[in-house]
Amino acid sequence: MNQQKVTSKICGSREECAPVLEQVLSFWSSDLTNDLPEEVHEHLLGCCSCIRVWIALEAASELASCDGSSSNLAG
Amino acid sequence: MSLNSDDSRIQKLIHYHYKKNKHLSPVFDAEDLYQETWIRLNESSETPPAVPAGLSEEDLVGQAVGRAAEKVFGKLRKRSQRKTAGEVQLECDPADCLPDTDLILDLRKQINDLPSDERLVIEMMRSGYEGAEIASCLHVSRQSVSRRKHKALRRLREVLGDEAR
Repeated sequence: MNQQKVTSKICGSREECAPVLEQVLSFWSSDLTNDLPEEVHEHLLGCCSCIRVWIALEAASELASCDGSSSNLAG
Repeated sequence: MSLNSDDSRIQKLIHYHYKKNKHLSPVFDAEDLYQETWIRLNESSETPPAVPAGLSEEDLVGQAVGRAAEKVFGKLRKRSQRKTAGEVQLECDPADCLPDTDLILDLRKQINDLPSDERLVIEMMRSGYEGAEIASCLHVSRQSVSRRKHKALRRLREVLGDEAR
């Protein structure tokens, strides 16, 4: 897949996205079987910026796992 | 995520499950308990696919983004299933939702650089463990688990910066 540098496509305002981003971070961290809150889901359907952050988090965590740095977890 | 029997997380999980199940029987076979723990760990972990040799970092990032996008849109679709068709349409072009490679690499570095106690909490939560279970497993308070989680998320939030404006 070719990576695209996307910086211009903005869907929501800063005020709208900030609380959603916090929810996305929390949802990403604890996942998985729970539903997204209704208001977050509705915002995400129309906001590629927040979806982009969520995809980035998921991709980064997979890559970090592949790095084999889980051995750092000792202790 | 590679698993080996020397991994301290497995030792901690074994200890946790031993404590949780020791009431079952005085003759409960330790090997069965070990296997049960192993199965649970494997079922709950999101094991990334094996990395074929010769792939560039760009290829790896691209593949990870593809899987991540599939997962995210899958969750959005699943969440939408209880609604009517008119309410579930994605209003933006999925192609516009692809993250910048630099952002992914910055987040990856931050995850790798998280203090081990914070990363352990995040990984266990992403594996499906509740805060109370993690606290019991790590012999710390629930408040400590919550604090570690929030510190880790704050570090990641700093990497995101103005990404979400």
